[in-house]
Amino acid sequence: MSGPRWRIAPEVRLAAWEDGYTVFHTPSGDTHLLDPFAGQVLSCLQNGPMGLEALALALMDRPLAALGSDERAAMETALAALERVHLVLVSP
Amino acid sequence: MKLAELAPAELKHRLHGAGLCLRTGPFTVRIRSRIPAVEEALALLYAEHPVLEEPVFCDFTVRVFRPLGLRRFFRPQVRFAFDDTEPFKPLPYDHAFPMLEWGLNWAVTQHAHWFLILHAAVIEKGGRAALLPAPPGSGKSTLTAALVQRGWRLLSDELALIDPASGLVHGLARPVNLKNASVELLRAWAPEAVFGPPARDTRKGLVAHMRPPADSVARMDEPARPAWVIFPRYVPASPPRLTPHARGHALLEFARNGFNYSVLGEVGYDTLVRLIAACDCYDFTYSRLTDALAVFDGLAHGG
Repeated sequence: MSGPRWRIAPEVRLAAWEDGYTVFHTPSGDTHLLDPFAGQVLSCLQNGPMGLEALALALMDRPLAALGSDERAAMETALAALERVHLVLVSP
Repeated sequence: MKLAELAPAELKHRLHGAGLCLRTGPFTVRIRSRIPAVEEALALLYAEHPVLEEPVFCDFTVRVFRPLGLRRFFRPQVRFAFDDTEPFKPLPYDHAFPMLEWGLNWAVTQHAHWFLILHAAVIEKGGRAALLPAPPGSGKSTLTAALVQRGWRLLSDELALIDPASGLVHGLARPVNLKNASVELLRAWAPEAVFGPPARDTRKGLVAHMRPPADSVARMDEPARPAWVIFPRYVPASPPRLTPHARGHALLEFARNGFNYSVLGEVGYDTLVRLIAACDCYDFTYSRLTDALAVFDGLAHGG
């Protein structure tokens, strides 16, 4: 399978709440409140590194090709946001 | 022995000499001061607290004193020392007791890292504790003072001490710090309550301390299980309104305002997760103390 793959950063602790997920990143000491979708993305990555295809199946129960452009954009936006705060790492 | 049982001459002797050793919840503190207002306020407001006899180890040694030099005569000041360090700038002389109280808060928050210390009042009824986190001006201390005069137990009006091992919240049962109009409001609400002398023109305005109820001091070693996190807000003429507060946000607000959250790292986070998971979280707006009492009693009775 080609394309980038994302994995959860080491030493991340995640808790689910009705309004989203809280995350503690031990290396930085930062605490974040993620919206429910970004939290689900991170929660999926707890099972192991994934590419967009695997994430689409895990999150939306459909293959990537079957997603609407807004759904794919939502996944990519969430991954970019998680990467910016060092909660996920990407490998090409 | 309680402080109230100590003869005034002996209290003065200890404060002027090796120090008065008091216990407040899990902490022992040695206080030295030659300032009469400090002596009087301690006798009045810590009357029910246990006094420790020498030789004794104290967690904190503090001193409230008048500086030497011209400042003895010209706009006299007071200083606070923790061991040999002075963490604060001097204050006007008649703010001596509030400075001691603020200094004791500082000592706890800077040193007691075996607790997660959150900025919140804590009260208890029926074995269940309500944590009241709120910024200054929200009416947190007023509400706390009012409820502990009507059957709730005071653990703290400022510092929630959470034990990471047990998840229980521990109490200090120290005087409640009231500001400005709240002082007269509480005097009217609870005429039997005992207040220390007011300090005017502090950075928080007029400040006066209310003595903790005797029962709260007697039970200060009894931790409580957190059950509610309630964000109070005084809104003039507002009916009482208790609405759910999302728990993710509640956790984040505690994290932002925790005194030592960043020191504890993942232990602090895990403790907060456990605390929030165990609690129902609410926003509470109110304008009348009688309404607030009814709402809190309703919670305690399972309503």
